[in-house]
Amino acid sequence: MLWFDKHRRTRDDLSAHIDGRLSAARVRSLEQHLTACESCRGALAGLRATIAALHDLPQTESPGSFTLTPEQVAAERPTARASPALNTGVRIAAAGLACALALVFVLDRGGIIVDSGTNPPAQPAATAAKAAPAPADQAAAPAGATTRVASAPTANAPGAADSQVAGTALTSPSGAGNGEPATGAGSGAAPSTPVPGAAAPGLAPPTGATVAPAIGTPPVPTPLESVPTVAPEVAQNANASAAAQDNGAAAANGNGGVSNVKLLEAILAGLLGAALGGAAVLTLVQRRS
Amino acid sequence: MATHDDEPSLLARSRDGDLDAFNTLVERHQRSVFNLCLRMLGSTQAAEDATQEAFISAFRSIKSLRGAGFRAWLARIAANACYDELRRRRSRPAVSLDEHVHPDELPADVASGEPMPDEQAERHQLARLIQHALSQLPPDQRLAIILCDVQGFDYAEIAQATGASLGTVKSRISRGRSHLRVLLQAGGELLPARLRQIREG
Repeated sequence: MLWFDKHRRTRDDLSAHIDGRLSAARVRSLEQHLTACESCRGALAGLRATIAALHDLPQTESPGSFTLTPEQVAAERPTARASPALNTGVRIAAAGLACALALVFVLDRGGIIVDSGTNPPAQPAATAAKAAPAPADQAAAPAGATTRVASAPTANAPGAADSQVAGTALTSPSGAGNGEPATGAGSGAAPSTPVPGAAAPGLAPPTGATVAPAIGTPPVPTPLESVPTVAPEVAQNANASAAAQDNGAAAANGNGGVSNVKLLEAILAGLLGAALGGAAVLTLVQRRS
Repeated sequence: MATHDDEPSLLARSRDGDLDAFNTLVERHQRSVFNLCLRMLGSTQAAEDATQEAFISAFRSIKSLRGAGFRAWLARIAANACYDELRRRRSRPAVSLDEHVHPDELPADVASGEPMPDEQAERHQLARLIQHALSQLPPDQRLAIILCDVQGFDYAEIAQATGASLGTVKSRISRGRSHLRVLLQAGGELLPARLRQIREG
């Protein structure tokens, strides 16, 4: 064996040698090398001193007793923090739900679409996502992420920006002031169009708004989940003025006949959007876990 | 009562849901579990949380413990709680810089007799230095050398506690020690004379 190989192998063996984990043959060859090599002797001494330093680390008394109470054991899960596995599961389920909901909304929207050929799907969604941060102070960061997702399709959308809807959607939450789930106001506006309908024109491709209803329930205050709890508020907070205009526009649009081609187009666009959205959510999930 | 309170019988009773029996085990092992978490996480608060979490999940999953050593099994659960905490820190790194890895917050050494103030200060200083170096090791290496050189586990126990093969354990310990030595060399002047060999060679 070349001297250098032996040298390197000795270095690899030193730690195990200190712990008595080498075979007799390896020990013999190592000791032979050590008598000849000062540098390896130094490495062995340095390693021994490092171990001695670790042995010297004081054992700290435990700050209190960790004995368990029946309550701690009875609880289903440690409530303070959900396990990462659980979080991931919830998010994946949410992504799946988001895709399904996107599809449903697209089909719904297919019924509303007009011959006149305006194609406003992405824009309001983006604005809904943008509006989200306003009511929820802790949702700023995640909403930013969502906006990015939602605005990707916007770039592709023919510039038919429904700026009226956009404007009202943006302003209304702040006008409504409190972030209370507007049961009164929301239901007041409801009769003419169901709540999804109010938000629907924008719901086609975009995860931002679509994810919302899907994962509004999980109590864990992680960013992804906190967006949705906000979004329904936005939809409902766009009460009286906003919702009325919104619904008016939707109703007006709804007069036209349904073209099969348009319907197909919408479905395809929706599928693409859903896939994109699902992929984006999954990517976020993976990056975070 | 010795026969009634030995570990196998306490384990058997714990498996039947006897919380008092399990709490006796907690009292026996809490110090080493807490120290494992403290060395892994470098923060008293995080170590307390991880220790509590570990004992709760240990009680819940004690039926899955078959034959093998309780100490290593418990260490594995505690290590998992620490990895969970490290993952959480990674997902919000802004917090971790300020909130964690403050070696100076480590409680003073309680175990030693009555060392001279100078001596005590030196030990305290060294403990901070080592904790700081430990926190810079990759978690797998950190765990391996804490179990081996601080807690006194043998290779087989470490393999059980980390779910790794003996060869992997051996290599992690070897790399971890070399790595730690290099990190300690950086704080060379602070090393006491009897450890000066860490610096040489």
